[in-house]
Amino acid sequence: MSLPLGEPALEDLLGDGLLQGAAALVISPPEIDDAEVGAAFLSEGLGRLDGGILVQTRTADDGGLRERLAEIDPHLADHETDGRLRYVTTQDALDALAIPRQLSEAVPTVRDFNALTAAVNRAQRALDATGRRRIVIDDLDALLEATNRETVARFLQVFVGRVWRADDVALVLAKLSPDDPALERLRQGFDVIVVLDRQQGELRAHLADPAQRTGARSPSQAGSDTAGSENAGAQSDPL
Amino acid sequence: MSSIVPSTRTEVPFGVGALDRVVDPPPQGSSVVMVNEPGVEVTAFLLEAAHSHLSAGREVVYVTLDRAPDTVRQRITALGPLPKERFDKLHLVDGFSTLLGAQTYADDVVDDPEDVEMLIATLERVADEHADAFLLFDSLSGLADRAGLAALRANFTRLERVLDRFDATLAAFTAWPYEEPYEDLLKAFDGVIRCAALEDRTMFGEYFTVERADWAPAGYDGTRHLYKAEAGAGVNVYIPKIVVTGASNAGKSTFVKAVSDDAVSVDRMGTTVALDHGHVTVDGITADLFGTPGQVRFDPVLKTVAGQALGVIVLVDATRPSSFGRAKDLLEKTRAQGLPVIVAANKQDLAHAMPPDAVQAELDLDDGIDVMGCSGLEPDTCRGVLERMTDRILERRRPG
Repeated sequence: MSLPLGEPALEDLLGDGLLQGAAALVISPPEIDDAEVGAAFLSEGLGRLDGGILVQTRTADDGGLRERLAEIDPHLADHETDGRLRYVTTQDALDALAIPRQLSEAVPTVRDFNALTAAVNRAQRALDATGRRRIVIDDLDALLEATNRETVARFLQVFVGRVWRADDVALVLAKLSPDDPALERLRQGFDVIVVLDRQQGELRAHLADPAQRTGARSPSQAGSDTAGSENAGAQSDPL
Repeated sequence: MSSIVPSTRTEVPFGVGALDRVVDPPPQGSSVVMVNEPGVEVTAFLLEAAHSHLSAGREVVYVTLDRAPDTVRQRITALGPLPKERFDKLHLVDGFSTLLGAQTYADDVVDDPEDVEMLIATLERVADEHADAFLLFDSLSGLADRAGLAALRANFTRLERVLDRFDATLAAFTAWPYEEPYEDLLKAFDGVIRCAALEDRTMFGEYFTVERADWAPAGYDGTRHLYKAEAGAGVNVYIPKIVVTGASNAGKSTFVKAVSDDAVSVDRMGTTVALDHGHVTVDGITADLFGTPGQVRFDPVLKTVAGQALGVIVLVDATRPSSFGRAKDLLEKTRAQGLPVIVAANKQDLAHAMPPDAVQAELDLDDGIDVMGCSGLEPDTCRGVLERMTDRILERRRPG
């Protein structure tokens, strides 16, 4: 089953959306507000009574993705009250962004990838009753600043594997160029790599590798399960 | 949490409730590595070990590579108050703060945490001064992440030598999907304990298995020991279901309340109509007890309440032999066949109660079913029954 993404630029690119179990790496230059994309993705799901998990990896000056979510989704407080939106953050971000503690899984530092992985799992479990869950990691840059590329790549490999096993859908946001050499390692395991840019003031999305449509359904693929089986094959045993 | 007797100098208990219940204490100078799946946290084991050894007045050296020293201090003190003179025996080696450019008040700081040789040199200095200490290394994978597995492997013999200089070592290693093999490095340890997750869609439980313990000649059979890490209670072997059954008015609810830290009973006018539930943590074990209703009309719920139990305690009213037949009937209905079973001859505080051996004779039980006396009014006697049950459950999980 594919889930709509809530952002027109991504909808245009991926048709019906992302298949359950798929993970997309969304890369963009610094001037693009990718939090907007993550917020729209979560909001779309929350509106459909899906569960949502926001992994906020840094204390953003502008309030981060939750602030964007509050701007576009007038029902954010209701989603939080209903317990359908949960947060995984550092203790610092939890305080700085005034995220309700009862909705949060706090880790001492994003450098502790094992604790981060466990915290995401706890958030997933807390939302078991909701069935479908959407997860956004905002953003990968904080992880890359905290340690080396190889460690982050291993964390992502495990994360993407767990998304697939749990039949969730995930977006991982990163300020990276498609030419960044780090991408070669970081992209492993993802079903689709989406590049965001802005043309004539309009947010546009395209695939980093147009041949790679695994996990996503283009309009022409709608009604076919081919993408789903490719997705499963690519993730046969991520651990 | 585990309480430990100061080292006999020949064996060094882990100081972790769950491990000390299952694994024989390793000899002095041993090093044990806990290998965990990503997302399964083993730091709780190391922190409890630190707390227990400090409580016993021993020196502890804690190497932290993944979290700030203050976080380690806070998490140790959260396990229970420690007198200052004992807490001062904690020696922190900080291989974290300089990586983030953060201020640190650790006892030793590794200036370049990405440099394996520098970390080992620091440990060598620490070993000169604290050779009697219990070393906790959190974590080897953190070092591999920082410096690369190749650098760790190149310096591993030297690292091994310095670990051997401490009284004992417990190290953590997260088994990330490394591109290079790492299992050969684990061979250097005297023991390997694996921690993993029980998963369905998401991880819903954690267990450990003793893969290797060179000091235990009989070895271990690879049994999965569920465990729970709970705030303030440390890490304990988790027994998710012990069923307490018996005829109506045998004293099941009183028994569950007597042995539990927290208990609740779904009853109507004093008679259990759904189930009793109790949660207890004692001696490295944390267990959930489920009491079944005793009246015949509730028998349809027995299968649900008793499903997937690890042990069955059958309460009998030792003053009422006429109810013993019903007890045997319930034993059958709770599908206790093949599980550890203990018959608790309750109400021993009453003068006309039959003693346990008389109850055993009257019930004509299969061999291997213990009969113990207890009284719901004397919680210690009930705890004795529970302890025997947990021993029986764990015995079944060990070879020999």
